[in-house]
Amino acid sequence: MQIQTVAVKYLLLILLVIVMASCFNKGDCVKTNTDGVKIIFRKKLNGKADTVTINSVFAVGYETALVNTSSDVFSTFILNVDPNKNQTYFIFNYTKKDYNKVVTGHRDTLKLTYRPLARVSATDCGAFLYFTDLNFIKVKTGFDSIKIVNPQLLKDAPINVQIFL
Amino acid sequence: MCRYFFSLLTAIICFNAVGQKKADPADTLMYKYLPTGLRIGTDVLSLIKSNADATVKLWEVNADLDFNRYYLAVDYGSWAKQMTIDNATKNNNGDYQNSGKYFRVGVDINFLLKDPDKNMFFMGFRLGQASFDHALNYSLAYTGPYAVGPIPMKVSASGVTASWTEITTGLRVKIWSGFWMGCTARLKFSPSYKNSPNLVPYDIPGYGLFEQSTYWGFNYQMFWRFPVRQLKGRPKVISDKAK
Repeated sequence: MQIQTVAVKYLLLILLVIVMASCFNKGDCVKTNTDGVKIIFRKKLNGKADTVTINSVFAVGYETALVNTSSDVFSTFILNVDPNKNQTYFIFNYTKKDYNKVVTGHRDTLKLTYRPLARVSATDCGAFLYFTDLNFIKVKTGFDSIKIVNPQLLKDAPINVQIFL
Repeated sequence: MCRYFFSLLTAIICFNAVGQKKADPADTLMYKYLPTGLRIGTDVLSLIKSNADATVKLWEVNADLDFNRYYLAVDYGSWAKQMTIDNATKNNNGDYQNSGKYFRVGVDINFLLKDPDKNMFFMGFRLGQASFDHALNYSLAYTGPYAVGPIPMKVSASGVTASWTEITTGLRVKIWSGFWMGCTARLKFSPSYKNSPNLVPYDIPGYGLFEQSTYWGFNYQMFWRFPVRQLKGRPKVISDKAK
């Protein structure tokens, strides 16, 4: 009988702790989603950040360039994925210096797949679209290799995709 | 092989049943754990909510079977809700709706064992599982290269399954004859879901808000108890002297 009383006391204590924890678990409207893929160019020889001059980046099916600057030099940049689809096909037009310091033009492709995930955290916050399971489809390209380092698109996330040149 | 096994099993059971005519003191333990009644009821709050709110359709049936101080408890229910998403900014608003069935299975432990009417103050646990469809229609506020202005979005999933765990506590009180009333408080936790790749469930039938990792539930129930065995004292052991 005494064992049962002690057991009940412990159960009530555990219940109280969980109840108090649940009281502080009120949802909020923190929005962490983004449709931007953070991309970095890296040198295939040593893995260090590489710089390229991006002339333009287009998404197949859309005429307007996502990036259209001929003077800027990039090592990291952000590309938006199409929220209506589960894949976006990017075409890069860029120039970079090769090992002989000769500037050459390139046209390469990056095909990204992802899973759009709608989420309502609270009815007074609204519905938001998250993108997860980021991956790439291998296509014939001038990029040496592509690596997905973070498959979820989040505002505070670091780099999502590494492209080795 | 299987046929022979069941034949042997049947023979053993029959042999034991014949053997019970002789009141063996060891059998009193088994007698103690034989169920005395099946209690079937419904959640009154679910019915009231369904009548009061046109966007909610709920019902739940509860049953329990006693094994001395332990009760095998089973709940089965239906749950359909329609919710408006409105954040007052007119961005990303719309509606969410779900519809499905759920059940819970678990054990309650009665702490009022000596009560002659078998009234209960109990604590227990449940394992819950739901199967449902859900859909979200909303207007995605978008300022990007692929569209101009808000994008109408429709996402849905069918055959979604979800599971969770509950700690329960409550009362069951005999009101009159076989009529009982009771209440159950549920602390639900560890929700998870499958088969909804593009939509996170906002509301899970039987559980509630998925975003809440712990969530409260409360039932106010009416029961009818169907006795399956008279609640008497333990069978007397016939001593050799009495013979």
